[in-house]
Amino acid sequence: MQKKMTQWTAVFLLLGGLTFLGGCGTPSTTVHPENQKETAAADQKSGKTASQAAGQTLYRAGKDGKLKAQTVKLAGAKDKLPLAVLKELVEKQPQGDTTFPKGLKVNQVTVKDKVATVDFSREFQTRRGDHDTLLMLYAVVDTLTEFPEIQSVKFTVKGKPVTVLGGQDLSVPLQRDKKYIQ
Amino acid sequence: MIKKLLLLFFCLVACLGTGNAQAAAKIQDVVYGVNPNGRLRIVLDTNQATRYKTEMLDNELRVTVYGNLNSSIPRVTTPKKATYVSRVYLERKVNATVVHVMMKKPLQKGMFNVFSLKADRVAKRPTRVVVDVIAAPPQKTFTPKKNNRPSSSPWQSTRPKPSFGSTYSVVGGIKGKRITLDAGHGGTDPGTHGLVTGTYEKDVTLPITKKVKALLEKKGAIVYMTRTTDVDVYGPDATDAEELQARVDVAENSHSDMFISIHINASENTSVGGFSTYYHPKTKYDIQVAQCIQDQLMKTADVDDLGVRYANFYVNKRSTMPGALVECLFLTNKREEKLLISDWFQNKVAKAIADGIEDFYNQHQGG
Repeated sequence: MQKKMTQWTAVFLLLGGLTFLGGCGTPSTTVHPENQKETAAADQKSGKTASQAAGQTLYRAGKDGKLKAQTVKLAGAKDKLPLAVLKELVEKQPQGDTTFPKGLKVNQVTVKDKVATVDFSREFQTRRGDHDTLLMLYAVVDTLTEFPEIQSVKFTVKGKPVTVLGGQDLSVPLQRDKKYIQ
Repeated sequence: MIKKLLLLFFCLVACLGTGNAQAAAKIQDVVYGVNPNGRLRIVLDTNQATRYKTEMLDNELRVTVYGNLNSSIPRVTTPKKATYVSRVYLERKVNATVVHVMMKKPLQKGMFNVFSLKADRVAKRPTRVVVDVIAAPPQKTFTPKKNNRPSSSPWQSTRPKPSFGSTYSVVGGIKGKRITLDAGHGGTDPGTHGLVTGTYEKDVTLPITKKVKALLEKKGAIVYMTRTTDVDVYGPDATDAEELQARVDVAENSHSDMFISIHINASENTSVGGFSTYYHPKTKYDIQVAQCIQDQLMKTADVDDLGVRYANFYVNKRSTMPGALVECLFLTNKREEKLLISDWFQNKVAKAIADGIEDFYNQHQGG
């Protein structure tokens, strides 16, 4: 009897949920057609533990409102390169560069199942202006997805997930978007 | 088992209808609308949450709404162009009004939908009871053809989305289209600000959006606004996601065919300027809407064209109908700030947005 009651309760809740909770729909996970991986740099062919100088492309905001590519040589173990390249991008900004808010630090980059999680300092959430927010996000995403082992990026601040920033829905990891590149 | 389930479902519907029982409700207005596909919608505005009862007769859908009908409301209506409805009679009873929807064909389950809507303080709409009679016979299995036009039937959706949300129409021109306009920011969230005058983004998006509303209404659209004054749509203590979802809800609850969010851009780089329109490709139409608006915007001034861009704006991504987010120039650019705070330029931008929306519907005139 109790089992039957439980079944009825479940059916009731399901119907109720279908009728009323439709408004809380989950986001569609549309795959953006522009998300095409650019050719992996020849440097990526180097061994997993290789410690050598590698030419790595990173992207900063250009004057025309798009991202401009720049190549840097970075040495180090391959699994440390994503953090190294982000530190180069974020913490060594040239004079007058506005890609990132002042004082922003990269705490950590972890890669799991082709998704990179970037942990920033709290300045990440001080970014204002939709244009600058988008350029900041895609400067990170397009730089990290230069690595073949990274296909999308999510963001945390001091370990806490950032799900909305400047109106952008970051609950699903962001994929590469070449349209932001000059 | 199926019978039991159906019984339970109808019990549930009855519970929903009777949940907010109060005596002597008033039906203040009754509005009829037929969409381009031939679906009839009857909206009964009530002064409080009201019970209702639905009965199926052979050639009649009978909906009893427990409220007194305002005596000035016409009792008989013949909705032109409604596929299945020949006439609607409103019968006054003691503390109740019976809506007799006379059918051209025998009534079947799935041909109609009756539901209530809560008061919407943003759109300034009261509590409502809505009766929909669809345009096409219900089909047990629906196989969409390639390039099939989206139906406005709430029963067609295959997405796990709000039951009344994922229904929109792009065909038949702009007339009668339900369009939700979202004036970016508001209330405790001022958005960006001009560097010369200090004008807030929220105080530029609102007048532009109001102007777009007036222009769209002139073109025959039905316009809903997420806000009409300087307020937070959800409330002052909302999280970002709650605030943005509240804006999406206005579009979903009004069954809008399109959602347009209007913003002003900003950058630390004060030389950056120009128009850009963002889309999220949740439907194949989003990019087209964005392109039509961007094309019109670029005719308004000699400014940079930042183009149509893909983005993950919450309001675009989480709404089910086609839409776009417009970034009207940069408040952080001196020259553009001057343009943005002037009434004549706001008129130009509003006209461009309204014309762009009309262009989109004109492109889909024939389906």
